[in-house]
Amino acid sequence: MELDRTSLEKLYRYAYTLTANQADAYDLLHNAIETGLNRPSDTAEKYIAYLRVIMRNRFIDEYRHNQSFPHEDIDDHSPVSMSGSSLEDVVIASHDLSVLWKTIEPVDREVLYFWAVEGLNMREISEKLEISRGTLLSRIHRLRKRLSENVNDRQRGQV
Amino acid sequence: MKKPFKRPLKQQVQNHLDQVQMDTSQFTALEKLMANNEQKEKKDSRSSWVPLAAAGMFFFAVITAFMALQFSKDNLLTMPQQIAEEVVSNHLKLKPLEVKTGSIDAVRGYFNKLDFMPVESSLQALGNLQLIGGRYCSLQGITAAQLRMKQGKNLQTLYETEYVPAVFGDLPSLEKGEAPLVIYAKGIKVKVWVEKGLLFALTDSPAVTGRKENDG
Repeated sequence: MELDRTSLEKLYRYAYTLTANQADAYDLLHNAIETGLNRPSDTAEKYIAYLRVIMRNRFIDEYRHNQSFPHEDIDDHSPVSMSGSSLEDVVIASHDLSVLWKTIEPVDREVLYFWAVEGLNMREISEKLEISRGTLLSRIHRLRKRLSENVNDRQRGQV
Repeated sequence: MKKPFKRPLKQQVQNHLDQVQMDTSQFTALEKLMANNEQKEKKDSRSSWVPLAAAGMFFFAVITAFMALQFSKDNLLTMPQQIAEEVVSNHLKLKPLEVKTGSIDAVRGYFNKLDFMPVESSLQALGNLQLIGGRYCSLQGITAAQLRMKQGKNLQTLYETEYVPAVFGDLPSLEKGEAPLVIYAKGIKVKVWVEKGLLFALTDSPAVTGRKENDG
């Protein structure tokens, strides 16, 4: 199945979300398309979803090869007080996000991607990433904290 | 120092990812990759159904040829010839007799499910033949009596069935002074005629030494 450039671009951005590196993102997408070429899909949406799964699995495999993929290291039972929209009120400067993007864990970048680009809610994101809602909220809580700390540190010139 | 302009995280993430774009050469490479596979898929799907279609067409052609052959064979044969072929074919099988009797009356008694009454023919050739029995049969799909006749050790078969002109066509009638049709089938002479409203078909096969009669 052939995809239009808009779909390819979208997949590329997801690959970049995982890798935080444009060259790696392209390699990941190219590899996924090669792998998924022979898969028959009746709709472009299904094919895109399939390619996304391939990219994610491939990335996790490679990531695990180099280091442990930080997926299950958050205590699912840790107290979570914020709501699912706790990222909504976070503000950040463009430059700060660009700098921090590479330092954020891949899973957190995925959360940001599905939340900001795909427009998914917390329940949908937790299903997509196959993590519990509690884990997802804990992760968001930490992400929010980290973003604030890093930005503050940067403003103080510590980073 | 100018303070950086802050925006909501969602918007910044969108902006950040919007800046991530493939260049034209990367697009072209991926499109080429997909297009090549698309062509390969079409070729594969073609190559997968072509043998099936060819096999189907071949099978269809064989069946058609076979049916055409049978149809043309049946149509090329005249009705008397078809009668002779069927009579000789059954004559050669010598299937077991269902009733063994030398009496035409006993034969009539046995063939009580027929729509006609088996009768003796006035054909002179039958004078030398001795009735030994019979069995139910059919001729061109019409129920018939298959009688077995004996002349010494030589066995002959006599068919009698209701004469249906629409089925059997125009055949010579003894009552009209016409001579029986003489037809050869599988090397055996068969006489076919109409008499007393019945169709008769009699084999006239040469004497066979040592042939065992299968009379059940």
